[in-house]
Amino acid sequence: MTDNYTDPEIVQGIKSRDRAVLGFIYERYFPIILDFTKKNSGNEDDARDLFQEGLVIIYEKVTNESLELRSAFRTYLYAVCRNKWLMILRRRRTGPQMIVDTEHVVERIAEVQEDCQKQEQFEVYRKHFKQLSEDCQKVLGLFFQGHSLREIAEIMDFSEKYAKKRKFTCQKNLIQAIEADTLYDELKH
Amino acid sequence: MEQEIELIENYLAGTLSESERKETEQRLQNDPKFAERVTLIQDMRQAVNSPVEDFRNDLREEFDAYQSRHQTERTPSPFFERPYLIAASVLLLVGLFAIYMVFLKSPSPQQLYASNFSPPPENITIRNDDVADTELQLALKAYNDQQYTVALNHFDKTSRTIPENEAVLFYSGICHLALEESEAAGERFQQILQSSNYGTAAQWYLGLSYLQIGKSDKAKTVFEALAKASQSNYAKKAEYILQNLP
Repeated sequence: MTDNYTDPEIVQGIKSRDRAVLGFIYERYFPIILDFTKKNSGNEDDARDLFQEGLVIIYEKVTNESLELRSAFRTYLYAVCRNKWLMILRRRRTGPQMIVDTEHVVERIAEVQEDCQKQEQFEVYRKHFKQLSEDCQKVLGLFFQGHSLREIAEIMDFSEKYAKKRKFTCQKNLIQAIEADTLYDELKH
Repeated sequence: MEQEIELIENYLAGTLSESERKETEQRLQNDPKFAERVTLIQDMRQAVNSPVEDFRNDLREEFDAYQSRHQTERTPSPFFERPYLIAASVLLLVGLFAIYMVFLKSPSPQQLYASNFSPPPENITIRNDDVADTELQLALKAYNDQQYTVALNHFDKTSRTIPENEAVLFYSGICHLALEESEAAGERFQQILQSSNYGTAAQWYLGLSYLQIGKSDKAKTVFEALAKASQSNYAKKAEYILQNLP
C-alpha cells in the first residue's frame, strides 16, 4: 500500500475497477467514513455497507456520465456517504435531528442528492428486472446489450416477428412493475 | 403502450424523422408523465447493463483485504522464534487469570446486559381494526422470527401510529435493543414508563439499554426505582442486577 494516486487516477480506477486503486481507496478513506458513521448512530457494519454503497453510487455515475470533480475526491466521497446515511437514517426513523459532521461539507449538495436518488432508482429497475421470467430477462438483456431483433430471434430460436412481440411484452411488464412500485414514485419527487 | 415504447426508443436512438422528432420534443415539454417514461426507458437499459454486482464483489474483497491487513499489523509474527516472548506471555496469562478472578464477582455493565437481555414474547392484543393492518401483522411475524430490522420497518408503517400506541413503542424498542441501538431503544421506553400495561417492563428494558452502553449510573437509578416500586418479577431481577453492579 505504498502507491499514491491522484484524484483523476482514482476516478479512472473506479471506472475500470482497478483493484489496486480500490485497495488504496479503502486504506485512505474508509477510516473517515467509519468515524463519521460511529458519530452518527451507526456501527462498524453500517460503515462498511455505507462506504460500499457510496462507492457504488460514484461507480454508476462515472460509468454513465463523466464525473467532473470540482472539489477533492475525498470531499465528494464524504458528501455522497453523508447523503446516503441521511436517507438510511430517515428510513430507520431513528436518526438524530442533526448530523455530526466530521469533514467540511462544501458544495454540490443538490447534485449529490440527485446521484444518490438515481442510484436507488437503478436498484428498483434491477430488482424488477430480476423478477421477470427467465425468458424475458434473456430477451431484454440481449436487447439492452444492443442486439437487433433479428439476432435475438436467432439466439432464442424465435421467428423475428415473435421476437419483436416478446420484447415488447417483456418491456411492458417491466415498465408496469416499476411504475407500480411505491419506492419509484417516492424517488421521483 | 407498444407504440409509445417504439416511439421513445426511436427518439432515443435518433432515428425519428425531423417532424416526428419535433413533435416528440413538444410532448416532452408538455406531458410530464411522458417525459418520466422517456427517462425510465433510457435509464432502464443503463441500470440493467451496469455490472454493479461485480463491482460490489470487488469491494467486498477489498474490504476483507483491508481488514486482514490491519489485523496482521497488530499480530507480532515471528513469535516462536523468540523464547522470551513465550515466557512473557505465560506471565501475562497468569496475570490476566488473576485479574479475571478478581473481576469475576463484578461483571461489566455490558456483561450484565448480555446475561439479562432476552426479547420478551410478543403478546399484542389484536383489535378488530388490526386485522386489516398488514404492516402490523408483518411486523409481529418478523419479530417472532427474530428479524428485528424487518420488524422495525413494518412497525414504522403500521396504522397504529407510534405516538399513541404503547405496544408498538414497546416492541420497536425491544427491536432496537436487540440490534444494539440502545439510544433509540431508550427513547422509546422513556415514552411509556407511565403506561399501566408496559411501564414496568419498559423500565426494566430501559435499565438494560443503559447497561448496554456502559452507563452504570443511569442504569442504577432506573433499577433502584423499579426494585422499590413493585413486587414484580422485573423488580426481583432489578435487585439482582443492583447487587452485581460495581
